[in-house]
Amino acid sequence: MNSLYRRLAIPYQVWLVVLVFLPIMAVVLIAVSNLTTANFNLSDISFSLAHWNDLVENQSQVDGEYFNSYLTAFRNSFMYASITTIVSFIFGYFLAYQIKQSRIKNKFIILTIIILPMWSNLILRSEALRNIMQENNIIESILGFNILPSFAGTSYAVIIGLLLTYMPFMILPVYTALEKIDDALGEASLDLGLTPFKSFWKVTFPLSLKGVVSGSIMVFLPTFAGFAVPKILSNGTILLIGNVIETKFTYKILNIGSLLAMLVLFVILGSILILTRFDKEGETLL
Amino acid sequence: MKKLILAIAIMLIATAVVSCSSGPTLRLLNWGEYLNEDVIDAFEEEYGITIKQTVASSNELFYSKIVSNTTAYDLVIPSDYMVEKMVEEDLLLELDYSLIPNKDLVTYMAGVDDIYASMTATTLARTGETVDYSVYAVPYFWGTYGIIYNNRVDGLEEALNEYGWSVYFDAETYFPDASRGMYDVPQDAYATALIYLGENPNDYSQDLLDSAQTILQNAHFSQWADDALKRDVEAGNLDMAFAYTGDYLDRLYIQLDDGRTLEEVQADFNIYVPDPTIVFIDNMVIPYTATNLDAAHKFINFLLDPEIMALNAQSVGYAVPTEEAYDVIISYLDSEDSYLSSWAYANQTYYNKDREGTYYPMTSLPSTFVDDITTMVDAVKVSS
Repeated sequence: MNSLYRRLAIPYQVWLVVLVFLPIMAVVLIAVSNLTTANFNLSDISFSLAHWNDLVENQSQVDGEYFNSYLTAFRNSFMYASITTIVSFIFGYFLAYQIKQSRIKNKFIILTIIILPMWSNLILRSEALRNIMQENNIIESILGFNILPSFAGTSYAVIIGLLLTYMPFMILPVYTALEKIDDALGEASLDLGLTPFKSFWKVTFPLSLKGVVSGSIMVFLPTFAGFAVPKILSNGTILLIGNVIETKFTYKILNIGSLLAMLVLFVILGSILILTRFDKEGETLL
Repeated sequence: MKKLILAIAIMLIATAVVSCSSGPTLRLLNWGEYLNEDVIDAFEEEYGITIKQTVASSNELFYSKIVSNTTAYDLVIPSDYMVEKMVEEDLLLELDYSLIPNKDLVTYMAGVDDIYASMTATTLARTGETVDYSVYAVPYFWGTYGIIYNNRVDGLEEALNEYGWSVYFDAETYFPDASRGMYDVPQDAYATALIYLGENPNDYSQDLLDSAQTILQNAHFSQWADDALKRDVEAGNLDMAFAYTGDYLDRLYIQLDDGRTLEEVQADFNIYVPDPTIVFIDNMVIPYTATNLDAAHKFINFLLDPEIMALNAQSVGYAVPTEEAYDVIISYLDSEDSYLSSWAYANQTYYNKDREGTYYPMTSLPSTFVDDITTMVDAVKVSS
């Protein structure tokens, strides 16, 4: 029976090697060599850091000011990912806390409602969101007036879209962490003379920090590397690094695209290192 | 249980037998929704040849499918620049016009001839060789690009007709409050900016790139998208967008299907085709992998029949390449069927065969140029 189990594990291992490990190796190889779609010949491969120079020396001039558009895209990614993470932490944490504190017996139902939107397709949801952010939208055509100002294409639209998409990834790990805290600890701190406010900050919050860290990373990473939501909701006018990489690969500019993808990969690996420092067993990721 | 398995087995065998019992086949590599089902039926009935269609969504996919040679396609329908590339790399067979007698019965529209001439010119400039593309290709559909505009904006239509491209690109002079959208394809953006400057959109130099960047920045585009553009102009959320004329006709036909009249739709949104403008042409070509040359030539010959070509155009929003097929479409102007008459009217209005203009098909630029253009367009987006 054991050998059957082992064999059942093989398909996914093959999958991992073929569709995850090999592509990552290919990305690394293309990023530091002269390989392209037109020239994919491993026999006359030569390694160089020329693409890195292209990346650093890329200068665009707008209204007399010079800037590096890759750097700007990276900065945008950091900014939007950070704002999304911080705001989802503030709202997500207290929502999770409320659910935990509430007397409702079937908390599973509430958590289900929170992840309910994730059952519909991401692109479809973003398109629908973009529609109601526009001047002439479906609500306007039903009611005859607008309930929202039209702000599709602005940075607010992007942040709202990212929040609606990724906030559940913050709520769930925080809730799991809160749920694991023994109620007796809070009661003991109150008995020993802490006010409820102090009890929360000195007992509950530090114990839930694991959930906050893994929640933050699960919000930060997809926001940082993603491109679909910002592309749709900004009307294509705000570029995150994911959008730049997508364009590079669409137009077969593989070397620079791979190099940028590698840089994003470093950010992701770095974040995972931080995660493992706080959460050694990786339990809150579940 | 055993009976169930037996039943399934019989069904599987039956499907297998049915699918391989038919006679000769034509393996066609095509775009999605680009061949009228009625045309397929008529062809299969007339020649007893089954059409096996594979669908791909880009010219680059056509190319890689032919080069990889996993399926031996008999006929492919790539666009202008991909035909140039395929000819350059010797992937296409020369057509045997003795098997295509219908070619002598039809005349290509002037625009189509212009496009082939322009393709020959860009090839000559790039490689120094003179290629007659009609040796390899027969046109399938073609179409212009234009500016879809929101006709609910007062004076926009008149301004476009009078000042053309300037209204779209010069946002400071014309309609500063109007929102403008550009196709999210860097080379398209670059090419239109060059046309506005009066240059050949297939040229490339650092100076042209810098000028194009200034032009694109001054247009203050509020949207870079693909299919969303036409729907946003239709809904009144965008005032001007550069798009295929076929994009506009696509939305137009949908609204006509909903029972609106042509005048009503045009009063909401319409398309202006500037001069000069960018065009595309899709062509029937036979790749070197073809095994059923006879069927491929028969299909090309069949499609050149004006009646068949017009029938094919009924389900596709692009322009027919021959004058005879155009005349067949125009003959529906007085049809009782309001859909057919509107369709004929739309062809007469937007794809008129007597329309004079300069048409530029886009060539495939070397990848270093494409890289620079992409980076330039990214810079325009970032600075907005």
